[in-house]
Amino acid sequence: MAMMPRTRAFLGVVVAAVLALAGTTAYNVVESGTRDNTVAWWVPDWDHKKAVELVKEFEQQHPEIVVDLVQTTGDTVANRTSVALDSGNAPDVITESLARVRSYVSKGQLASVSDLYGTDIPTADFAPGLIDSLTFDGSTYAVPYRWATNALIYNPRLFEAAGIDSPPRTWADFERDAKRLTKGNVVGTAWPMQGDPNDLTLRFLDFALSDGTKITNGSPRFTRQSAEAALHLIGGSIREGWAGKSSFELDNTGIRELFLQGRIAMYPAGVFDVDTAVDQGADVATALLPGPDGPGTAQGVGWGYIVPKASRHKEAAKQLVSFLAQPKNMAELTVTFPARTSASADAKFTTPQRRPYADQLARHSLPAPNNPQWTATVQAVHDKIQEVALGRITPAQGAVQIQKLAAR
Amino acid sequence: MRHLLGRVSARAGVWTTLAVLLVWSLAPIAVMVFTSFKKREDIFAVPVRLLPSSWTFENYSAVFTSSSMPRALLNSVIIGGLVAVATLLFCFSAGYALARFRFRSARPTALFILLGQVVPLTVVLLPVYQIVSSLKLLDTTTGVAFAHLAITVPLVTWMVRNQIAAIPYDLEEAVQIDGGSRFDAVSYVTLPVCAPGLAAAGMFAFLQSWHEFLFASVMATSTASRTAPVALTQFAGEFDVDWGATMAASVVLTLPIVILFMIMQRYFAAGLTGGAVKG
Amino acid sequence: MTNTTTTAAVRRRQRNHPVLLLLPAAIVTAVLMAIPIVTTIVRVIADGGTGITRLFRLPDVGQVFLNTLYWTIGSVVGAIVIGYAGALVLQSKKLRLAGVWRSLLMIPWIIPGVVGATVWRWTLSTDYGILNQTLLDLGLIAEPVRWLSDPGIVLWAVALIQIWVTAPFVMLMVSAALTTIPAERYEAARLDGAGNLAVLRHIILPAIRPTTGICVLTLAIWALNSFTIIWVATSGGPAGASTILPILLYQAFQNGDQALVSAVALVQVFIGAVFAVFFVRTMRTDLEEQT
Repeated sequence: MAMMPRTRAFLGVVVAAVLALAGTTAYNVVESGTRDNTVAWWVPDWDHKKAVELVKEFEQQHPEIVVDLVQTTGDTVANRTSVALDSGNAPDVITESLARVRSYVSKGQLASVSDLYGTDIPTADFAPGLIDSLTFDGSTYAVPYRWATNALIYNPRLFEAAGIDSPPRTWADFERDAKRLTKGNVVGTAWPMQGDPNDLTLRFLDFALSDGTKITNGSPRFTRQSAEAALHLIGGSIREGWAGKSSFELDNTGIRELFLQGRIAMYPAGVFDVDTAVDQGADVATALLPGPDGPGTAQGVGWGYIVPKASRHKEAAKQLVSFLAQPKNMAELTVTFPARTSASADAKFTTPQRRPYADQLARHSLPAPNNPQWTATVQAVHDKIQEVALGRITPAQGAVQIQKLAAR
Repeated sequence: MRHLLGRVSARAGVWTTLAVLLVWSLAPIAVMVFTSFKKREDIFAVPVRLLPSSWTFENYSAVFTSSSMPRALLNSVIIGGLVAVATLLFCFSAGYALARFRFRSARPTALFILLGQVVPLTVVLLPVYQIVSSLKLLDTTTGVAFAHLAITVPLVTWMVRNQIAAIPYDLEEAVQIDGGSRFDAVSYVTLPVCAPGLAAAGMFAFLQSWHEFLFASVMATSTASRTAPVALTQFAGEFDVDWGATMAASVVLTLPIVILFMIMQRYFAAGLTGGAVKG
Repeated sequence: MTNTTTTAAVRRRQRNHPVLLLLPAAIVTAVLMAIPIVTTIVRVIADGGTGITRLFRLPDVGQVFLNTLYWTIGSVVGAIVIGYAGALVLQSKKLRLAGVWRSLLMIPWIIPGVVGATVWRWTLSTDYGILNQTLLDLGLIAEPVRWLSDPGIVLWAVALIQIWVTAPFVMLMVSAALTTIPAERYEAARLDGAGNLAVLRHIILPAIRPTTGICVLTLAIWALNSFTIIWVATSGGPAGASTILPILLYQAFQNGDQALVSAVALVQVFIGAVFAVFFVRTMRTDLEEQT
């Protein structure tokens, strides 16, 4: 078949393109087969810089192991990890939220790391109940490295202006103070109803757990009364106007910024918000979360290291995890609190504003529920809280419906 | 006189409508641009003002010096280019076949390809991940580009098919009567005639890939193949969203594509509609 | 194909079966799209329809379907109206620099959806939003409108964002169609004494009818599968007031609830397929008119 020059050139380009594509694929297939002894570790952005230094140190101690540090973003780590684990092609170590560990375990996707715990890493050194919440049928499936709870953040200047001399200790105080603080463009408190639904349900559950709700088997067992009281505090406060109406579109960042401007007087939040406020020289003080009649309970949440069952370098991966679990390294990698008590001695964890947090964590906390069945109902519970806030249902109706949702 | 008045008012009407449309389209863009020059406390200032009270380039320097955005932009360009080229290759051949051959399975084939357009991407995610992973293309630009083909191929096939169908077949026949092969007919007649349309279709494919978030966020594990929309999420930390940097990154990510469009916009309209919608 | 065009060309077209040419695109579609669809259907059947049953037993499923309907209609109608206005204005002979204006009006469509939605969320915010502030300053409202948190408004607010993003596409398509109307037709109408509205009704609208059809169908399919905009702006809230099918699907996906994912996907594919068939119909009659 005779062809004219342009046709030949055109076909040539097409063939070249196809060959290049095939070549890349073939190269990748061959290339990936040759890398042994390389531990792939997925790290979120915020830990990446410190992780580079730690890896350098680790590689010096273990010259036979190479660590391939893969930087992920916090927003995408959940989707990415679950897809990777589902597909069976996973890295060797992943930094993951501990709330999701149980769901991976229930699908049989994680390798046990029980053998790492012992004299070097005693389970008793971790926050109360923490290791138990990651142990199923006798095997532990994650090594936590950071762990924290919410506590109450408040603006002492606004408190003083309203003639309140100490932070609220009980729910009744909390409500009374918030009402007194709500004036002009200042509101008593606010709730994160936009963004991750967990942010809102966590606060709701903190209140419910302070008043009789229990966690069994990773799921909350609500009492009617505690759920109703918690719904009143969150939903009712918005209905009655002592929490900001704009809560519906605020996420953690939005609330923090309003607090920094002195437009929100107090709110339950994590220690990161305190650090930011201190950095900016804002008026800030902290206290234990209020409960029905004394300090309330807060749920611990945090991050840890998991080793997928599909990992092909489990031994090397565990060596890396055990290195990272040393108190010194744990303290390096956390911006909240380290999961091990022996790592918390560092000066950066004992500032005056942090003390209530340490107290809350050590004496009034328990691990957040992590049963996949509960995780799957978080969105629905979140919507119920919003319905109470919108006035579509009363706290009493909401409590019954949430009890039903959680019992399913 | 009345005539003149009428013309003046018609002109005023046109310009007014245009002004309204421009405000509607560009006001949010203005918010984005001005916010990107604001300091942190200025962004959250209440009452909010459009213009920064003091201008700063901090956000831009954060984007360029301490984020993976520059690398991600490069990745996005590479992936978009790969997607555009591969899409055009696949879709030109398929579109040509659908437009020029009459065969019994033509309609089912066409419908089948189009159906790809209506599948929710979340459903396709895991199977595509497995395919990409078995090709060992995870976390490579090629792998992300391959996944993006799933989005571009269906619609572009239709666009190309309509363009080719609009070119009279007689033109191709003339080449063949002169002793050229069918390939010659295509490369000397069909390709040049629908080149603007193909350019537009390629641009369309590029844009789709440039926008795509879900696939890119899962296929690209590390900065090695992270695309620009995914890199945007790195300004949202675990506890905090850096809005200034997010807006600055958005501007950076928008600018090249707007310039590219301005250059190509003449072809774009013709290409998207093909010959298919002539009245 | 009408029977008047039985030429040699057509006969030649019928001879070959272009397997090789179709193969690449067909394989890509098959691998990336068809296999997942089949898997989805198989999964729904395999679990005995429990996913589907669960979907229709969800407490708010009625609201989700209604939301999806309102959202689709609202965003399609809005985009068509604004897109037409844009195209007609750009077509006007009284306008200079049309190319520049067109490029500027296209920006909402060519920026990534994530960016567009983020910017809008920011603009519409109650506390930090410039829109509320401007309306307050102008004295048009007495207190901030809660665009993204009032359940009666939120669905329309997010539809507004979708309109903002998709209207330029309509404008582009209609612009292209308008250029194909011969100038003589306008002149003839003017000579007959037709006013602007009469020209619009009797010349322009009929001429771009096929384009309208294609735009409506494309927009509807986009609206049905749209996820980014609502997810970024409201995540489906408050209390599910802006939850549409794709949001429901994504929530199920995040919970790892594969049965529900498949069920929602099947419903979506079904609705989408109905639209796709219409799409092909419109395209086909349109092409046949032309050849």
